[in-house]
Amino acid sequence: MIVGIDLGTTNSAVAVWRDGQAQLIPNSLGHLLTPSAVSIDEKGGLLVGLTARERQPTHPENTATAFKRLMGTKRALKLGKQSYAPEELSALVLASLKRDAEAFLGAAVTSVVITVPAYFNDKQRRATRRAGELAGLKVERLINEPTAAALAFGIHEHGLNEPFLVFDLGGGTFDISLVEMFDGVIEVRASAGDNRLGGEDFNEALVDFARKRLGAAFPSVDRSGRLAEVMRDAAERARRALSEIDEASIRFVWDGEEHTVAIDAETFAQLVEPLIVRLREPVLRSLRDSSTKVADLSEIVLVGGATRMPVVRKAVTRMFGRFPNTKVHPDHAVALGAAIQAGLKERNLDLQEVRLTDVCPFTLGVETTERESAGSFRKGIFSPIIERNTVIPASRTRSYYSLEDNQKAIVMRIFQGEARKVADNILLGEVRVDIPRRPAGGAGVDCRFTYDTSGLLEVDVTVRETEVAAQLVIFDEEDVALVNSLDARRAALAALKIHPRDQEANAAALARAERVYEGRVGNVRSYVGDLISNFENVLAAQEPRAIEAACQQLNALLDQIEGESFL
Amino acid sequence: MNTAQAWHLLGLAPTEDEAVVKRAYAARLKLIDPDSELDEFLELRSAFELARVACRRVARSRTAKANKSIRLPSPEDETTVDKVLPAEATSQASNVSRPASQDISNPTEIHPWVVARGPERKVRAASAGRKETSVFRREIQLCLAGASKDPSAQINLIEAVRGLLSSTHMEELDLAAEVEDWLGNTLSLSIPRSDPAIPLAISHFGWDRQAGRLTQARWLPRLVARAEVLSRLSELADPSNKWHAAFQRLNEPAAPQLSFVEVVRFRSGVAQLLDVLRTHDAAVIGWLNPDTLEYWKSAIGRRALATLAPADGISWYAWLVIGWVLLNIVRLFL
Repeated sequence: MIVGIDLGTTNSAVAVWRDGQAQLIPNSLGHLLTPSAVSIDEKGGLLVGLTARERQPTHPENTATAFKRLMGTKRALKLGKQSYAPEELSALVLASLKRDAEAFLGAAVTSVVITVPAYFNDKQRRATRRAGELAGLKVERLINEPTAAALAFGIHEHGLNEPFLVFDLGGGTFDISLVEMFDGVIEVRASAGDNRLGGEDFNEALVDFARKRLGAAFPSVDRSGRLAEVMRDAAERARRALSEIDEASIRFVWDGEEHTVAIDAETFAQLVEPLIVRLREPVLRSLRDSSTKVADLSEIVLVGGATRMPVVRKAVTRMFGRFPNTKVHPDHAVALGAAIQAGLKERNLDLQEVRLTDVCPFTLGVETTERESAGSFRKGIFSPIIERNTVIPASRTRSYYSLEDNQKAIVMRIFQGEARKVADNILLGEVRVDIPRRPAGGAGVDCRFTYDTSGLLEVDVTVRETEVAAQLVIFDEEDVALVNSLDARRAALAALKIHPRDQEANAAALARAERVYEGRVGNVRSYVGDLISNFENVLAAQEPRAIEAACQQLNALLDQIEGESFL
Repeated sequence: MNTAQAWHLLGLAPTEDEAVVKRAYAARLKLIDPDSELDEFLELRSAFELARVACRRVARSRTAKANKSIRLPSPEDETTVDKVLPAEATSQASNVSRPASQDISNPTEIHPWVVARGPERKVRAASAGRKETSVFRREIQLCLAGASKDPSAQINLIEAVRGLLSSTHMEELDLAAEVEDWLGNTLSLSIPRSDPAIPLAISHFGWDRQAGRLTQARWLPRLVARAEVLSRLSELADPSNKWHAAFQRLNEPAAPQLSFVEVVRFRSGVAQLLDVLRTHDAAVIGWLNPDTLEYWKSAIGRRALATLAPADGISWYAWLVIGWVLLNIVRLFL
């Protein structure tokens, strides 16, 4: 069974193609979204999802969130005594979704289609694939998030002859895809994006605002990193409230003291203006690359939780001169699209008449040196091999020649980016081949780039004369080490004690109550304290039915205090 | 693969109808699995792209022919019209009661601006923005055509560009893209008259951030380079700058008539400044008055010669040579 997983910055979701449609799978709490959060409790047990997220403000040193933003980097996150790579934390989330899917489907889940932001680079994609493998899943395909959303939208739209645009602003990344449909073929024509722009940046803007507004009153001592988490939680709540009403407040408790900063929708709009401006460039670029005019677009499809913000919707309406299409569920579309791709991968009969082609969103090439007319060299010039927005899978070959007499070897440094100078692009790796000694320009190599449907690159360099070939599939040595230790790391992750599935709801409720307890002062705090001890008493009695009722009651009472829980 | 092979692979006779090409491609794509049959996919894909290009080429030449035959009234500068024809023409078609309506009877002869492009509402909104910005555009062109040194023209230019950029209609992406191209082109063509407006436009569109990109408009590097020169020039024009005095001498609008004393006073400063500019900002030198530059170069050149020949006269070995020659002449006569 292949499932589709949307591995998001804030939330993840799993879906499956069944009975001729894509269907989301609920987790053990019955929710369709699982927060991408991992926490280790006092006994060394593993908590994933809502429970972990609720523990974030109360146990920041044992909890990790938003680690998708670190994918492909070497930053390790510490949970208690143990430190974990971002891909390992992602693997824990994936494994938890896998368990949910298996419990729901009653069958083993072995393979998966995982979504990644279109603008994820090669390193980030490889890290994501490793995360899947660490979770014990075969990664059939990585699919770009806006492409998945386009698939979820397009599968129900027939007779759309004009291209549509998918505007995907998630928790941590922003992607644009321009998609055309004809005769069952869903074809992405251009992708662009900003992999450092998302809902989290809006939260940060609110935190900064609160810091400035409070001035000297703002708590300055914070060694544990807890304050940052408390603030982030408060900002997230305020931001969500601002999507519904015109006024909200950033409210948090620090050192037993309550701070409140009021903010209205207008101030918020001014505050995030610099972020809103950044939405324009990727849109313009995708339109230019596909030589499409806004007037030619049939629909603007909004995807991603952050597009719920009225400021974002207003900006989109102004940019395109019309109202966007909000028919697809902003949080579910990507996972549903991944499930459709999983169905395609399984060659499901219902999907026989559907084909999807995607593009490579950035340019890939090698570093070259040019000889100027004066005889001097100009180093570090980027020579593109696969241009951005080429349909994938793609394969292109370019030839390069030796620069000096009797040159011994050619080193191909592989870059990704749009700048003329390689220094401004991202280095992906290098391949070295020995060449026969010839006068300058006498020895040539053919460099072949193959970009597969998952967006992973393969480089083959062949020396013309000797037909000696060198290949580059895995990049730096550290990556090799990571791959070699894959089995050991998988075993280490699997050895983590998982919190029992049937007690998940209780743990989540308790974690939430503790967060509310720490986030309040005075009467409310003592009231929540009573609720916690009552609930713990019920738990100790071990009466399943009573526990369930008490758990529901606790959540309802907490809803009264802080408004409904959100995902 | 050539175009003929592409048509063969798609199983089509050459056609102008893109929809037919797409249908043929879709049908063949469903027979292969791009993941496992890479070569087949690559072949089909390049056939599709070749065929589509061929289609569009025919369509384009048809458009070009049609454009020549029917003259559209253009409220704006003529140079912009042929660049942005399709959308422009759409909006105009709605204004001028569809001039080519007789062609609708024959579907193959439909001109591109008559093809309905979405609801009328959209078109009208776009044309309102175009009308407003065209006022600013005309103003900008008038300013650029006027006397460049006239300070009021400069202020007017800045005002017009600011007005254009801050227009609420610039929120619309199509219009913004069109204005960006037009403004970039116009400004780059009228350097140095457009100087005051360049930094404004660059910061608005973020052209400086795009300068190192592989794909960029042709006028973009020119404008960014000019902006760099301008900022360097304004730095040098600042009285607190240590090169200020020398720069003023170099920046005179016409070749100066200086006394010998003045030349000696500024000569070394100017020479040093020229050296600095040559190594760091070679572009700036190109924007100086060539006569003034020539004047100072020759002044510096004279001094350079003078350093070779010391002021106290001809050197001792020259005396030796002359003496030896004289001696020989004398010996010849003896």
